[in-house]
Amino acid sequence: MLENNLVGRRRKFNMNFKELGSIVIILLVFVISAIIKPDIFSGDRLPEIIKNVLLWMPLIVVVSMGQMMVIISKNIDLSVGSMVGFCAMTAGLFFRDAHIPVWLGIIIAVAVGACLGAFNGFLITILNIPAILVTLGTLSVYRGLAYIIGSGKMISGYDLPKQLGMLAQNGITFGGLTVPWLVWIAVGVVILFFVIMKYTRFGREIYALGSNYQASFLRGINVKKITILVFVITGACSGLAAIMYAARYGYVNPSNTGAGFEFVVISATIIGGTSINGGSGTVLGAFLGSLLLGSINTMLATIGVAGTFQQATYGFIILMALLIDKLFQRSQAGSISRVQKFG
Amino acid sequence: MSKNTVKLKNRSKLGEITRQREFITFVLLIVVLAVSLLSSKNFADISYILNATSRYMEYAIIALIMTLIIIAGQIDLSVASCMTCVATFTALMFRAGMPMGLAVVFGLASGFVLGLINGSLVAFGNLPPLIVTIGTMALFRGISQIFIGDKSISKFPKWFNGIEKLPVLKFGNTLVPITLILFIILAIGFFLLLHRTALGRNIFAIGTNKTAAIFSGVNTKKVILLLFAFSSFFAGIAGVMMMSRLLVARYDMAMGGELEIITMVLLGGTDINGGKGGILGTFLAVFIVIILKTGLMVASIKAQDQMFIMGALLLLSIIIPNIARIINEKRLSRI
Repeated sequence: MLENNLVGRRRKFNMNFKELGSIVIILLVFVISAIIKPDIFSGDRLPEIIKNVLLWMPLIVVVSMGQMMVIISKNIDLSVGSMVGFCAMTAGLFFRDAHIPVWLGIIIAVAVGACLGAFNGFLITILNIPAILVTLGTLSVYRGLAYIIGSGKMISGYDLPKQLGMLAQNGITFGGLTVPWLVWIAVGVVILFFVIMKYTRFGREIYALGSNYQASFLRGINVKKITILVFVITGACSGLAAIMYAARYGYVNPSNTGAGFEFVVISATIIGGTSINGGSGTVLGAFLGSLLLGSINTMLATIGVAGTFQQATYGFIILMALLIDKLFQRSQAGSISRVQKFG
Repeated sequence: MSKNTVKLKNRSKLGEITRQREFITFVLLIVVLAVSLLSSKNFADISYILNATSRYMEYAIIALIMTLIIIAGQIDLSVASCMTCVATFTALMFRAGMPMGLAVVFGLASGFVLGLINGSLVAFGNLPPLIVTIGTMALFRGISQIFIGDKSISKFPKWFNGIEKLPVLKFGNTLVPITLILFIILAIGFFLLLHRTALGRNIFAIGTNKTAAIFSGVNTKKVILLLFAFSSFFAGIAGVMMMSRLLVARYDMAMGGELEIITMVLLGGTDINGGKGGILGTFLAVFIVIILKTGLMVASIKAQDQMFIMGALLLLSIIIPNIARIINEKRLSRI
C-alpha cells in the first residue's frame, strides 16, 4: 500500500511539473514586462493587452492541437501554414464572388483543409514517404495553389462579410473585458481535443502509434487509417484557423496569410512538452505552449521592443524551452539518460 | 537441381546501373534538359547556361555539406539564416572601418562559431536537430535583424563586387563563373571525403544506426559537432558570395533558402532518414534545379507558380522511386 501511494504521487508530480513550468514562464513574462515598463498595466490598457493576447492565441492554439496529434504519432506537418493560406483564399473567394454566409464559409474552409490533409496523409501512408518530405513538398504546392486560385490578388476587407470581423470583436463580456468569440471557439476546440486524447480509443491509439509503430501494427491497430485521420484533422484545424485569420486581420493575402506559421505552431507544441520523438504530449501542454508564445509575441510588441528583436527572441526562447525540457526529462528517467550521454 | 531452386534474376550491368538511386536523378536531368531545349532556343547556347548558374551556386555549395548532414541522419534548417547573419556581420565590420578582406575572415569565423552552437546543442545537449535548427534559424536571422535593422549596406570595395565575374577560365568565348569552378572543386572534395575516407564511412554509419556507431567506436559527438560547424561555415562562405553577387547586405537575404537547399539534396536521391545518398546525386540535382528554374524564368512563369512546380517536383522525385520500389517488392514477393 505504501508503494501505491508513492507511485501515485510520483506520477502526479511528473504530469504537473512541465505544465507548471510553462505557467510559471508565462507569469514571468508578464512580471518582467511590468518591471520594464510599469505604466502599461495601468487601468484601461490592461483589457486591451489581454485582448491582444487573446486574439493572437486562438490561431496558434487551434492548429497546434492538430500538430500535437501529428507529432505524438511520430510525424510532422510542415504544410499547415500553406494550408491556412489556401483555405483562407478559397473561403475568401467564395465570400467575394458568391456572397455566402459566414457559417458556410467556415464549413468550406474546414472541408478544404480536411481534403488537403487527406492528400498529405495519402502520400504518407499509401506511398510510404516520410511525413517531413511530403509536407515539405506540399508546403510549396499549397502555397502556389493559393496564388493560382486567387490569380495572385489579395482579398480585401471589403469583400469579406461584416459578420466575420465581428467574430474577432464581439464576444462575451466580463466587466470591462470582452472575450471575443474566436477565443471561445478555440476553447471549445481545446476541450474537444482533450476529450479525444484522453477518453477515446482513437486518442490512445495515437499515443500507441507514436510510442511503437511496429507494436501497434501487430496489436491490430489500423495504423494507416489513424495516420490519415490525424493529418485530415490537422488540415481541418488549419481550415478553421484560416477563417479565424480572416476574421482577425480582415483580409486574405496569398503570400502572407499563414506564412511561417508552421514554425510557430511546431515551436508552441514542442515547448508545451510534446516530445518530437512521439508518444507523449498533452493537450494542456500544447495549449500552454501556444499561450506562452502568444504572450511573448504580444508583450514584446507592447513593451516597445522593436519588431527587429522579435525573431531573435523567438529563436532564443525555443532553444531555452528545449534545454529546460531536456533537463526535466533527465531528472525523471535515470538510466535512459545515462545511455544517451554516450551519444 | 529441381524446380525448387529460385532462379536469380540476371543481374546485368545495366540492371545494376538502373537500380542506383542517382539513376532517377540522371533521367530527370535529361528530361528537364530536353524539355528546356525544346521550349527555348537559348538553352542550346552554353554561355547562357553558364551565366545562369551563378545565381544558384551559393545554395549549391551549401547543398553539398547538407548532403553530408542528411546522410548522418541530422538536418540543418538554419543555413539560410546563417548566410544572412555572416553577410551582415561582414558588412557591418567593413562599415565600421575594417578592411574588407579581414572582415570576410572574421565573418567566416563567426559562421563557424554559429555552427558550433548548433552542433553543441545537438551533440552534447542531445536535442532534436530539427527543432534546434528551427530555433537557431529564427535566432540567427533575428540577430542579423537586430544589428542591421531594415537598412541595406552596400558600397563595398571594387575588388569585392561581382566576384563571380573574375576572369579565371574561359570556355569558348564565355566566362566560366568562378563560383561554378569553386562548386565543382568542392563537389570533388566532398565526394572524396564522403566516399573515400574513414570520416565519410563514419558519417554513413551514424546515419544508418547511431547507437551501433557509438558502440563501434565512432566519436559521434565530434563528428556531429564538426558537421554542424562546417555547415554554418560554408553557409557563411555562401553568404559572402551572395553579398558579392547582389552588391548589398540585408537582413532578409536568402529567405526560404533552406527549403531550396534541402530540395536539391533530396532530389539527388539522398534518403532523409540518413544512411543512404551521395554527392553525385546532389551534383546532378543542382543542375536540374538550375535548368528548371532558368527555364521557368525564360518561359515567364510567375514566381508563385515556380514555387508550386518546385514543390511538385520534390514530391515526384520521392514518389517515383517509392512506387518503383513497391512494384519491385510485389514482384519479388511472388516468387
